[in-house]
Amino acid sequence: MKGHLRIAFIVLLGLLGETAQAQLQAPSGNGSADGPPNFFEVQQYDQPFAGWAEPTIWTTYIGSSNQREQHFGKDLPRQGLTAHSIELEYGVTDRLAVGSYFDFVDPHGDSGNYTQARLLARYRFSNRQDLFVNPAVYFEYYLPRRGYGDKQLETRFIADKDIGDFRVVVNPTLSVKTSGAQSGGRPSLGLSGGIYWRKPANVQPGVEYLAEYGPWNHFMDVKQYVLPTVDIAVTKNIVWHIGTGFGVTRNSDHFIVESQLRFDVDVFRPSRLFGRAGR
Amino acid sequence: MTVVTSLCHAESISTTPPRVPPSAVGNEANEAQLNHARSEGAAYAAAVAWERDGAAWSARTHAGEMLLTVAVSPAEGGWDLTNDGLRWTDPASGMVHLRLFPEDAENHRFVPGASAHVRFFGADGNELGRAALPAGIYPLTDAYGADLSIPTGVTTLIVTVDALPWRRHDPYNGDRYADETVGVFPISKLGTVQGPTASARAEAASGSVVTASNAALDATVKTMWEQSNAGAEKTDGDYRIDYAVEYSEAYWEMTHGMQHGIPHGTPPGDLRYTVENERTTRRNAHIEVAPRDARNGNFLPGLQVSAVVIGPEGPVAPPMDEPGPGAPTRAGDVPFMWHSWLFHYGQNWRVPGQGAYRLQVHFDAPTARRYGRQSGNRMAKPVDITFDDVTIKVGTK
Repeated sequence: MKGHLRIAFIVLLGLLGETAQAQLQAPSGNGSADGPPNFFEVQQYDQPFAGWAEPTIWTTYIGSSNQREQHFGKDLPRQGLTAHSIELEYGVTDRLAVGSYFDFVDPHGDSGNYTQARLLARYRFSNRQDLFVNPAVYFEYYLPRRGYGDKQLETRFIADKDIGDFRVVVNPTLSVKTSGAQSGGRPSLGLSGGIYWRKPANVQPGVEYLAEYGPWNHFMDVKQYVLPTVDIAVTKNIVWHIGTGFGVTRNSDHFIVESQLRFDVDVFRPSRLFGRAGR
Repeated sequence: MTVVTSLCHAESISTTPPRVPPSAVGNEANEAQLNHARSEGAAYAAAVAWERDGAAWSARTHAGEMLLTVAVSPAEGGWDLTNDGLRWTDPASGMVHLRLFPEDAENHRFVPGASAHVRFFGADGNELGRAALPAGIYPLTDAYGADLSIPTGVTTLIVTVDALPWRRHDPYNGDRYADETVGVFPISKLGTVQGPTASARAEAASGSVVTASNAALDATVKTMWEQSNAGAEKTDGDYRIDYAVEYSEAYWEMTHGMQHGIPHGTPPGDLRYTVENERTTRRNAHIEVAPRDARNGNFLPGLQVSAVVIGPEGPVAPPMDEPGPGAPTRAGDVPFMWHSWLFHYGQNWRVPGQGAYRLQVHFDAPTARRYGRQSGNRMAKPVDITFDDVTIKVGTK
């Protein structure tokens, strides 16, 4: 397992270096990323196996919105915005995974930019089915390019429960700014969750709910979405999660389309990476 | 056993480079459970050492992910299953009995369900003959073996174990035996082979070498019952039948190039972990059956096990798997499943919901030859046994 830790450490160092480089080179500005979310995440309990990597390509399209996007100092409409992220998650142990996102935003009427990196770490407290509810904790640290927004730490608690053919997942979320004017301020509360029907092997419908309630004890500016989703097994190792989201509060986008293309990749599995004698 | 002559050269063949297969804690095995596998392996290794003590000639090497022990002893004869029951066949004159004991190089457990072969080479490196080493049912120690004639002038014996074609549980530890394993043994010191057969010696054995394997496997089965949603044991004549029911789970399977029983020399396949099985409740329970020899407690590989799960509305059958190595060929088949600490026959099932079911298990009498003139006349009948009130919880691991 030492080999896995080595790899995870190298990946994290590389990400930090890349992010620092990006910040030095980025244009200045006073934009912020406090608008509606660009990525609609319900973090699942499962993670890549130890020694396995799992890349995911995230895409969001804002089909209809009266909200604005602060994009490196420009005030742009969110309608027509497309956001992309490339995520790579790596299983350090059977319970611990680390990874990163690289986010890109392409607003309507302006050029697309790399906006931020996010580092993630997740820890599962048990094997699935060991406990009544499967608990995990998930951290994401936002490292935006200069001028895009503030650094922040997001902590998600993952609770997962299978009931017959249905899986219920809930992510209560706390976010704290760690740079900028709001650094050290009240944490923001969020909640996301989903119910998925898992009986079909290849096409699994679900419904997700995502909300950002704003700073604790000051719930203004609430954004809430309901997303009918479907998971399509494109191949045995590729799953396409797509959904259409409908904003249900006035501060939300009206209509969004989300897509996550996830690759269950075993090319980095331990025996291939380290040889069978290396573990 | 007829030795087939063909052409090959010993110098082109070498022992597979040794390596240690994985032993990692994960969602399929914790450290205590892996220690059960090591206890089973310790008992098996001790029995193999005991068998070597009584052999006319034996040798051992670490090849690939296995420790291969070969032993030569007097020809055995054996009990063969016929339409009229078991029939004893005396050994032909001039034969010896050659056994192969393949152990896992990490935990020393026997490697069941394999296809093994031996080739003989002379001093000039030319192949003098070859023979299959089918799995046998021995009084004491699991092995592959046959009565055969060792060609005159043999100086090298080369044993091959094909890649295991069966499915394997465990996302970490199931990633093993994907390649052919070859062991090369110089055999120039083989002298006259005479005296009591290895099976006669084993039938007279006593003490821990007889009881340790059974005790270790008993402890393993109990642990499986503690982990699983249901489990029990019944005895039927010469058999002990253990079952357990768990949540549906994934497994490794060979992706190409493998069919059970193919001749050795087939290009190796590769293993793929069927993560898709964990994404869906299309199958929501996992049925495990571990048939054992009631005489010594050993797990019985090489069977055609089938099961019927009966709910309040009648029998419930699992969806058919895609054809492939280790996959069932008929609805209800429960094929052999390698497991990191309890070998079993296993299949993911689909039941309508959590509740009490009946589990009917069937398997025919083993087709493997039984060794041991006194003890081998057993396991002639098929098994049809029913477990009532089997609690099945539904879900995926």
